[in-house]
Amino acid sequence: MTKDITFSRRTFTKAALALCGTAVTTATPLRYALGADPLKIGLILPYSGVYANFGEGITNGFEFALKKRGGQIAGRPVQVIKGDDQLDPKVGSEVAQKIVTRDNVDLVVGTVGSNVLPVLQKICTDNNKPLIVPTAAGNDTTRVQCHPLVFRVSHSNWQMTSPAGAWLFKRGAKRVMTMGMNYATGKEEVIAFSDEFKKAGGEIIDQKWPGLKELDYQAYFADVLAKQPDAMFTFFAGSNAVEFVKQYAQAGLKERVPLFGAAYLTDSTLLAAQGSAADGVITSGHYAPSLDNAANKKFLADFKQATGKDGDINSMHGHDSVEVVALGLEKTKGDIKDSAGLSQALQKVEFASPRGPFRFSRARNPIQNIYAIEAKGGQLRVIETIQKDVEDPTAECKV
Amino acid sequence: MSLLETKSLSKNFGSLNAVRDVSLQIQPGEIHAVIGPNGAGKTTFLNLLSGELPVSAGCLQFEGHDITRWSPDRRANAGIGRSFQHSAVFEDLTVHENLRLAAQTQYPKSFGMLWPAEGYTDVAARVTDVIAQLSLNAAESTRAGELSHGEQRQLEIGMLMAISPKLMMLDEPTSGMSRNETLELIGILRRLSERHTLMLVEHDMDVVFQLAHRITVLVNGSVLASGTPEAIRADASVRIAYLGQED
Amino acid sequence: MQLSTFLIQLLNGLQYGMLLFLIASGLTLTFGVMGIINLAHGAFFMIGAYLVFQFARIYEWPLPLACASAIVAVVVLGSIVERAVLAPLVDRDHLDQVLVTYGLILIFDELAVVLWGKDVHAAEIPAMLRGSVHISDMIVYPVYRLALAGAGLVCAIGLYLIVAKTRIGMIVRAGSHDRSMVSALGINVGPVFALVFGLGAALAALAGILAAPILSVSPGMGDKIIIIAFVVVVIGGIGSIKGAFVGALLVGLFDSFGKVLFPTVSSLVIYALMALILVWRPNGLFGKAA
Ligand SMILES: Nc1ncnc2c1ncn2[C@@H]1O[C@H](COP(=O)(O)OP(=O)(O)OP(=O)(O)O)[C@@H](O)[C@H]1O
Ligand SMILES: [Mg+2]
Repeated sequence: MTKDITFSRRTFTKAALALCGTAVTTATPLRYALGADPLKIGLILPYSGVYANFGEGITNGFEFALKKRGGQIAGRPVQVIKGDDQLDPKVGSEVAQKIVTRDNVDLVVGTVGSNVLPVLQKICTDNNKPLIVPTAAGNDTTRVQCHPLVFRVSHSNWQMTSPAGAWLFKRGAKRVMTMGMNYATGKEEVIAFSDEFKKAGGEIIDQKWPGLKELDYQAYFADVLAKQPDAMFTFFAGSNAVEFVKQYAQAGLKERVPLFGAAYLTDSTLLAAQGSAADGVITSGHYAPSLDNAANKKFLADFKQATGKDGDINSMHGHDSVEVVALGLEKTKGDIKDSAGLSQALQKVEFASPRGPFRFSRARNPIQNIYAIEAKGGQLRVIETIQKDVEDPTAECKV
Repeated sequence: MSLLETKSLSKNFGSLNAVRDVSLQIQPGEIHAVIGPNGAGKTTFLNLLSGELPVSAGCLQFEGHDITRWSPDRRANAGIGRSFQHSAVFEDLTVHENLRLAAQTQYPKSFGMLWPAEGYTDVAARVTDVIAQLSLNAAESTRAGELSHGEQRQLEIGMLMAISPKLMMLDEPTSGMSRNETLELIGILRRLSERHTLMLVEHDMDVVFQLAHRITVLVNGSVLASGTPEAIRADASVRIAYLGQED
Repeated sequence: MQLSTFLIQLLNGLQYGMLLFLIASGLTLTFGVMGIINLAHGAFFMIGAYLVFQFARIYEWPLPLACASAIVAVVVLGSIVERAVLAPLVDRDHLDQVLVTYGLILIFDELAVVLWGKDVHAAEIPAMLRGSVHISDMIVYPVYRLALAGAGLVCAIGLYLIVAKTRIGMIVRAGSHDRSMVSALGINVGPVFALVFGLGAALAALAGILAAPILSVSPGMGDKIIIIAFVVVVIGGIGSIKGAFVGALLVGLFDSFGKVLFPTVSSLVIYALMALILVWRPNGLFGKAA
């Protein structure tokens, strides 16, 4: 059975690809006053598949930030060439080949899936093109895999949850149970938390790793009741996060064992579906729309005015990707050919992001604040800064 | 008028001509046996008559209507009933349920699909009537799958009796039966032929020659000979092609 | 294992099993009677959930009306699919059926995206079914899950009565043994197929409606559960309602106890169960030899 499904899934994907033909990559030139040589940016994201909403949100923020800058970066009009990697390394590789070598873009912004990132990174760096990563969070990207031309705008998995370890211990939790989706991201985020929590003196009494296809977490809950931990720390994302949060609350556990997790757990796109089940859940993360700072207020207001939509973490990442490129290129006066000079210029980018102060570490991962974010009444509220200027360890990055 | 008439009926499976150009008439009230060696096309021919298989060429008429394109259930409702070569009872259903399922088709208007199947007296009476005519030892509530082979074959014929078709087509009804069971069946078939026209595909020559009014011999999909038992017995080509092997 | 844990897991397993049965029964009926492997069965589950979300949360219809409308709509949709797409596939290769019905999955998932967007939605638990039953300090069980198990059981009994006692039930049992025999008796199987298919679609929609408050309503939500439903059907024996019932309970129980007893490999437990049962009985528990 499974074999048949896999087989037909592939066949259908292929058929669909063949049908769509050129639709896979759509060139969308933003036309502006002719004159200066245009700057060509490849925007490679998942526009279909389970992470499609990431691709959409990042693109909205990206286009908004460009528009805000009059469609120009460092005096050069910008032409954007979009590609859909479908969260599939093979498709991603084809799309990247085309955009990098045939369309010959100057730099690439992409992507979301940690599975696609390595192939994208290889194609970009082989061709000496800078790669700005808006979201993929695998630790390795800015550790052993780090590269002078690869800059991450979002965060590493470690960064997201590690500060919460000591913080939760200080809040009084001594015995904690963890649950995380059983894949690379889930493991990195939960383990980063557990390591810090143990270092602080806490005890991890049990770690559970439900599969990605899990529908019903109820069966895990009896054990939680039996073991009575002081808190539950989790990593869930997307529809799994909705299911987990609802079922946790429905089982009456939320009042007995307070629920914590990485910010994906109560992402603003999920809150409506989670409803009151999410109330009181606290997560650690680097951004929430309710952050109280001038840059964020301006971003949200302008974004709403320009697009009619509410800004969120994805549009913020898209926006900041453009900021990084723009601020870096302004330093080189629009010159993109000298890659060593460009790398240094980008490395030095520093600005007030909607998330708070932003600068790059030696490994080109942002140094940023990590906040405690509480969900309440369908809103996310930053209740305190867990730790300022959190830097992902750079020791493993040799270049 | 003949009850059933085929005109140049043919069936090909790819390049294999399983039935070729068969024209034959079945008269009301007769017992018509179709015989032939293994693979001669007898079952295929029967499948063409019942609508189980679409014809490749030719046509067939039942009571003067062209039924070549009719679906199997429409033919069954018009009065063509059949049994299958490999004992075909619904093993999960009880003896009673098997017969009831068949009998109900005779009272289509009287049943909502979701009404309890039990408790409709006409149907129940008919089932009782059929059981009386069979010689089953097992109880009505026995699962059909648990019957002996011979009893299953009887039950199958019972189901045919319950739908009371004008033409009953039986595909090797005695296969796998003991001598005694065969003798019992011959009696049942003889009684049946008082009310139904029978078409019989059969390997057992004793059965054929005891019962049949007319015999058609199929070889390699074609009619080799067709006539009374005496004529067939006397036919030299049949002797050489077929009966000779039996002697 | 503590007694309280044992009892809760037992409840969990039964409850999950009932939900699976609602989906698996339609799947096994369609296969048994029509001989069709309908991968798109999960789409009815998904659409049921989406429609009740649409009717109850967006249009704010009263819940019974919303549920009834959602089921009726899914049955209508199912009938169209059956007539237009599946009926012509009855005599085709299983691979063809798998390909076509997989195509249907893609179409319905995409349709859900077009109509409701890529966001994850959810339905609320009706007010009277909120909260938990406190059996003891260690045994706390959500009321809604008990209700869900109850609804599943009622459907199972209803389905049993239909299959065992009614005329269509008799035809269904006969048809899953041999379709051509049924038509040789003069029964037109077309309407029977349509009825059975409609019933299966209604049960899947009901499962989607019941599951909507605990699961998320999102494109592709049917795909996750349909795989487990297939495991249930294979364990129980393809075409057998009784098998679907027993298979669903087994999968539910093994899944919930597996998570406690073998936490590291819990996602494999039901597949191991399937493999073992197939070694012991290649046609499943109540399946017939091919
Ligand atoms: N569905 C089919 N596809 C291909 N070939 C077939 C099919 N059905 C029958 N045949 C072939 O057609 C020929 C006639 O078969 P048929 O079953 O009609 O013979 P028969 O006279 O009934 O034989 P027997 O006495 O063994 O029952 C055989 O060669 C058989 O292999
Ligand atoms: Mg034969």
